[in-house]
Amino acid sequence: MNTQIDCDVRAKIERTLYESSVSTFEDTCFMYLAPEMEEEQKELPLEAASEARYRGDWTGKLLIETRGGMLEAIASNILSLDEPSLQQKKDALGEIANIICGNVVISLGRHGRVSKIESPKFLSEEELQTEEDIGSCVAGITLNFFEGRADIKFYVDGYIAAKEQNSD
Amino acid sequence: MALNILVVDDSSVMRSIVIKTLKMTGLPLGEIWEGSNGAEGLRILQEQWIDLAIVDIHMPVMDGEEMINHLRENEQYQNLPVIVVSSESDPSKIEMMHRKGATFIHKPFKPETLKEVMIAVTGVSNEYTD
Amino acid sequence: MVYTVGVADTKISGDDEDLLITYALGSCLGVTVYDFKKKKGALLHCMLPDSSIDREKAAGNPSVYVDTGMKAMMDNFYRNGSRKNDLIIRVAGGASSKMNQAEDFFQIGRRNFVSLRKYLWDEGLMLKASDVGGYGSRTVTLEIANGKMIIKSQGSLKEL
Repeated sequence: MNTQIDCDVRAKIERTLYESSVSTFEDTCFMYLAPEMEEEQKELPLEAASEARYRGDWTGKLLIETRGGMLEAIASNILSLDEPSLQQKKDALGEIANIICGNVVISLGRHGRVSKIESPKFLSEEELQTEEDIGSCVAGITLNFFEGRADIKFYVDGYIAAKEQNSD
Repeated sequence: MALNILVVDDSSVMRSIVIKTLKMTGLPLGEIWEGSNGAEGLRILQEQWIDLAIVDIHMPVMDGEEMINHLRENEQYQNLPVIVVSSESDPSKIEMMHRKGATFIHKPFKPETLKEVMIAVTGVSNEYTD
Repeated sequence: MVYTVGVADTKISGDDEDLLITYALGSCLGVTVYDFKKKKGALLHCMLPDSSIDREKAAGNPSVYVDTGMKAMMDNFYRNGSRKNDLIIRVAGGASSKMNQAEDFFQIGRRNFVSLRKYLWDEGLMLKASDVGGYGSRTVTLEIANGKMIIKSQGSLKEL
């Protein structure tokens, strides 16, 4: 698969990934960034992950991983609930992945028309290990909040339009 | 006039956010109906009187674009106010929604934005009156 | 009568001859609440986003923090019979402390506004208008007779 993405597009994806993630956490989860990461936050174990896959000229996914209590905080803040259920936590994380993915795919450029963003999928740790092998991560950010940490990665699996051009 | 509103989104969390925001607006609300895809939305429309539809784009079974196409092809729903709430960022897709008479709100959105658009598309407001 | 609202302070009035004013809002927020039926208004000048950093300080003066300041102000309205739908909530301030926002390490202004949004969301309250962010200080007044909120900033004057 052709996953050639030039440096300018990569930089644009990373910038959009950062900006849209921060505004999604601020506007939807009412969370703001902590000024700097504490030492213990660097070592936090993985808590949960969710991915949103996109299809179109490009295919790929956005993956969000949470650590240190973020999973509960996201659902709790969005739904104004003290004790959200596990399903509510999964749905809330998925929705965040979905929103950020929709905002980022446009950065793939004018030939990067995405026709479909699939419903987000919650991933167990085992599934996450398998999923990591698919596609190339073209941008990744770590956001540090008082409630925990979020690592967000944007993957590109293939460029269908490029393949079609090559076969002409 | 109390508005009967249809909320169509495959995410239960996003439906909760939209419905909570609707209740915060202070606008007169009647019944609120929920569908998890375009096909469910169309079925509810056949069974209930709806004054406003709030619809996502990317959904399984039938997406928002196809649902809106069905609405505009049906004389009964041609003028139904539709608000699309989506993270879709492709300007050509957003422009297409406008051409089909839908007003677009980009996710993430602030509650006030939904209220402003609701007032604009339905003309209903009860702000600061007895 | 003109009442000046200090930093980390709240004034509430139901006298239609009163005017509430607060000066030098930088990263702080100036939040006004106005009950248009009772013609009662309040102005809160709060400094920091979240009381969880010092509960004792918040207990002594709730107006220091956005969350406790809002709660104390709103409770006063509810205790006196105000209904949510009759309250107009507006906000100004939340500016960056640096001309170049990227240099604003702590982003207190931005955090204050997010904290206000969280409070409003949890309480099911909607913001009527806002003039937040940017760089520079603002002066806010609230006229009790008519609920007008005026913002003065770097020589300009506007009504929210």
